Amino acid sequence: MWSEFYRPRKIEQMIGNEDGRLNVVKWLSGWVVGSRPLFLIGPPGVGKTSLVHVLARQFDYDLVELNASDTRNREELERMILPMLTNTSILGKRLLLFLDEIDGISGREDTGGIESIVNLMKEPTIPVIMAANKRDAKFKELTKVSKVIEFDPVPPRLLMLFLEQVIKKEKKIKKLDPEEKISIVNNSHGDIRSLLNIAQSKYAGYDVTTQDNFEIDIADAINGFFSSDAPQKARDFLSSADASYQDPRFGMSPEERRKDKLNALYSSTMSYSSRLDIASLSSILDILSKADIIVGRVGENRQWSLLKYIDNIIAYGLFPTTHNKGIKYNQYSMSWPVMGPIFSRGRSMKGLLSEMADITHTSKSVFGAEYFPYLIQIMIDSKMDPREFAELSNLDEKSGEVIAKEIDRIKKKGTRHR
Amino acid sequence: MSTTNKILSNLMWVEKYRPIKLEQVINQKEIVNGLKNLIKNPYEIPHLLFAGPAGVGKTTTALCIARELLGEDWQRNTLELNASDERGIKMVRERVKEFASVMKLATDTNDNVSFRIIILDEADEMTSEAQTALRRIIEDSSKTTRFIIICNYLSQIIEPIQSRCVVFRFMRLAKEDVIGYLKMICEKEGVKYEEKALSQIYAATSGDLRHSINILQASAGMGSVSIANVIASIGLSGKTKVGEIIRSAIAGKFNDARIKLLELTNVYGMSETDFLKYANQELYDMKLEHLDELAALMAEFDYRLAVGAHPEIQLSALLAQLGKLGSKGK
Ligand SMILES: Nc1ncnc2c1ncn2[C@@H]1O[C@H](COP(=O)(O)OP(=O)(O)O)[C@@H](O)[C@H]1O
Ligand SMILES: [Mg+2]
Repeated sequence: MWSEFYRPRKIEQMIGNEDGRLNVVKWLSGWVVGSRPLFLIGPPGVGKTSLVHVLARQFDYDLVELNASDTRNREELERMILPMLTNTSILGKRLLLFLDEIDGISGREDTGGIESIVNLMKEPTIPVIMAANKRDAKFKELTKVSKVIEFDPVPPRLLMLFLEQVIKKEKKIKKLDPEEKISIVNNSHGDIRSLLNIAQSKYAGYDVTTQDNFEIDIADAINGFFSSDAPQKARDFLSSADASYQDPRFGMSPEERRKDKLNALYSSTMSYSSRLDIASLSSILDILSKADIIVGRVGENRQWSLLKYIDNIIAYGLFPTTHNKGIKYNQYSMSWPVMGPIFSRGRSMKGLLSEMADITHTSKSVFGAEYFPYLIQIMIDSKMDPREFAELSNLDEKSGEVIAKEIDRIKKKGTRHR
Repeated sequence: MSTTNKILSNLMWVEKYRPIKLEQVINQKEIVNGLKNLIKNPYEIPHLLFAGPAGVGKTTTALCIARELLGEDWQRNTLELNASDERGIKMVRERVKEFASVMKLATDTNDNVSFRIIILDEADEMTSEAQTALRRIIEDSSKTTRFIIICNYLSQIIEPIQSRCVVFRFMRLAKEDVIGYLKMICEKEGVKYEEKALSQIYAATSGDLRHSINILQASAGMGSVSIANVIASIGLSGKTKVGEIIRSAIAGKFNDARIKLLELTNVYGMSETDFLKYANQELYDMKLEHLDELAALMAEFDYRLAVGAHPEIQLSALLAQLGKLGSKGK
């Protein structure tokens, strides 16, 4: 495996993150009892783990490495770490403790993994280095008690140099042309490990890089999903869609909305709903509703690991009711002639609702349901001019127009004065 | 920020007859007395928590207190927030925290208190994350700020917040009080009414005075407050529209129901939780056979809406389930 074979043996052999590496060296050389522990934060494959290994060797420490992804709860962590922090001399050697991938430790209060690390790390008796891929709310306290050094993805220029060196050492007869090299660099996204893996597989005759473009457009994926003749195939379409499960509660751009898988499945089935019976409809929507609960949970608690279940839940859940029906991708859950006017009225009402909610000391929702219909009726009965009303009430210019339009609608319908 | 709006007060009786002083608030005698006693020592006034059904004067009472404590400048020193419009932690961090961190200006202290007031309405709509954040702010800012927190259901406010406030439970308004208030309005406005029509209003609103006054005025607009006019006017409310959606859904007209629902949420801004609230009341009033199953269904979707990410999907799923139940009944 190239990625192990080309692991650096000396700090000088490493590429990228020069400042970060320098600061780590400074920290270790200046370390005394009571120094803060080190916390490396950076994406995978930029050399965090390699750096720690190299340092331990060059500074003559015995490295004790705990891959924290396996030790998730408090007791286990304390059982493993505590002896090292208290009996440093028992082995007669200088110890360096490395807690790698601490992203995997639970931040939840009940299991208390991160919290317990924070407590252990307050006054460590040996140098401790921790590493994680991303900043996260659960690390908030930990970053306060430690020295944080951030690592960035390695820039393409350096990756290219590194790739050239590797190619030279491999002494391969087969030559890669510049385009192939660029493609390897681009597909590794700043991750050295992934660069080595891609290069190796390329030499082995298997081109990973072309796979990178195998994501298919959401529309094709949804069409493929509904026309598949087996749930596995449907699932594969869903998984290869250039789309994901997102949580609109945190705000979405139109592009993100288009790439929201659940929304796409919903709007496509709904635009077809007049041809489905109520039993099928309720079964389809129940599956989507359950999938949505998982999406909601992921958004709330950042439990990304739950996402992997959703494609399966949907594919196997929907297949019996939706296959062979001829359902097609549709971005809108209703026909546009129905939906368009509702949306445009909604847009123009927005400002008015929040202005009036303020004035009546209530929410937009309550204003819309309990004041607005009566206000309209009262204006009709008292022959109040809505534009004048808006002006005298210091409402936005448009608000008068909006009320006038709603009044016209009500007059036309004549719901009350039958 | 809210402004007292003369035009609207002239136009809508709910606003015109909204109490300005505590003693004008009807039916909540014990609460009013308790509050008046508390206000006598403005410096010792605690945070307040009002719980109770809609339209019984919770918000109005809070505004009266702000007025009485802060005097003429009350609006400048009061922040009104409605968690139904903004329910997340962002609202707490950005709006509440910022307002609470500002001291009342010295020039404003011509009255007798040195704090500002935050009225946090429909607080039971807040996420638990937001409530937790709020709890800290309440504690940290007691020098600068008094909170009046308002909710429908006390149980949906986290314990630590409850324990930091003095709780006042607002009761449903009694029939004779509501009818008395409506008569008072009729006399002042010179409107003719049938006694039975007033009872009809009370029966339809079960003591929600806001809704009662609106129905009264809409009926008066038709000539007089008669039973027929009252019934026609009840039909205007958002709750009735929710009822139509529920009926369509149960009758299997799924798409009709979905279109009407979209109009309600998108044009009239109805929140999903309010939709469920009204739907629940309507289902109950319809006196259907499967009320037990329906109630279970509503509870399930109440939960799904709270934890799910796409409210539109959840409500559509509910409509389809109602249709399925309805087709079973046939
Ligand atoms: N107890 C009350 N006394 C007098 N008027 C009331 C009372 N309760 C409600 N109202 C009327 O109903 C309207 C809405 O009341 P509000 O304070 O917003 O109710 P809540 O906050 O409890 O939902 C007020 O403008 C007022 O006209
Ligand atoms: Mg209120």
